[in-house]
Amino acid sequence: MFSILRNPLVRQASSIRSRFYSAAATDEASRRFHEVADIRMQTLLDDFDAIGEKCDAPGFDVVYSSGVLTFNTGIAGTYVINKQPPNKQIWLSSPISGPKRFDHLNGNWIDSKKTDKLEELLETELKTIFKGIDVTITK
Amino acid sequence: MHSVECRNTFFLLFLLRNAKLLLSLQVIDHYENPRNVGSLPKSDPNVGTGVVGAPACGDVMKLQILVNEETGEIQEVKFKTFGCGSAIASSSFATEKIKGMKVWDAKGVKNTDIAKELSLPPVKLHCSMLAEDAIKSAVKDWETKRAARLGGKAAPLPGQPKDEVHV
Repeated sequence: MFSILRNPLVRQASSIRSRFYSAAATDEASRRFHEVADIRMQTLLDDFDAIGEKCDAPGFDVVYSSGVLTFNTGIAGTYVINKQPPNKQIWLSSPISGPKRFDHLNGNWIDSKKTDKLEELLETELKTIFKGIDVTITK
Repeated sequence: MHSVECRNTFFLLFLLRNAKLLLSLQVIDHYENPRNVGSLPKSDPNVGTGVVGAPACGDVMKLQILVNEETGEIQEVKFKTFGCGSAIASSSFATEKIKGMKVWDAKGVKNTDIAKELSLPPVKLHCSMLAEDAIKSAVKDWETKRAARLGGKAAPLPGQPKDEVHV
């Protein structure tokens, strides 16, 4: 009866099944990352656009394309925020604080040094740049 | 003939002044003439090796330092980088900067120094951060090897800050 396991077709079928399960697990984690990251990026886009409506800085521009959010503040340099799928991270380049990488942990985007939350960092910096304007970064 | 040359020169100057160069002239220089490319023997007790980055992200840097075991001076630096022009330039510049430094001073080289020197645009600041990480990783490897070799007998090198001595 056990000789059936030696049948090459049976072996192939069972190995395909185990391969499918492990591939699905990686895809699932990626899918979850994109889901969470997309929401985060879209909300940031909306928040930056909202700032643009309240202020008149020359050169102010917000563009979101292919997972890269480019935010030219017009007065203090340019932010580049992008999804980094291989690491499941969001990468930030700030004209104030430079480059940082954020992981999604316990519902928050925390930087690799575990000191900053993405939303808090952005809100603090943008409030400084756009003094007098109501700046809110949605959590 | 003369007017054509004049026109071409003006055109080039116009381009340089007005075009948003994706790579600064400094980056192009490091890309075309990278300094200190190569490898050092990993098994040498005075060689620290740092490898940072990931191929999936598009950047991998390997930076190696040969430290004089009596003075703590970085005598030799080699690097190999897989990545964009800014990543290559960042690591090339990093090797230039730390050569001749004391190993504990090299730890203090910041990504901002590298980014400023190379005029890196916002999207490439991550390359300078990676170069800073590569330096720190190489120094840490050297410190670990030294501590493992000398154990409790690791005396401070001349000029080394006391809290830096690893036992």
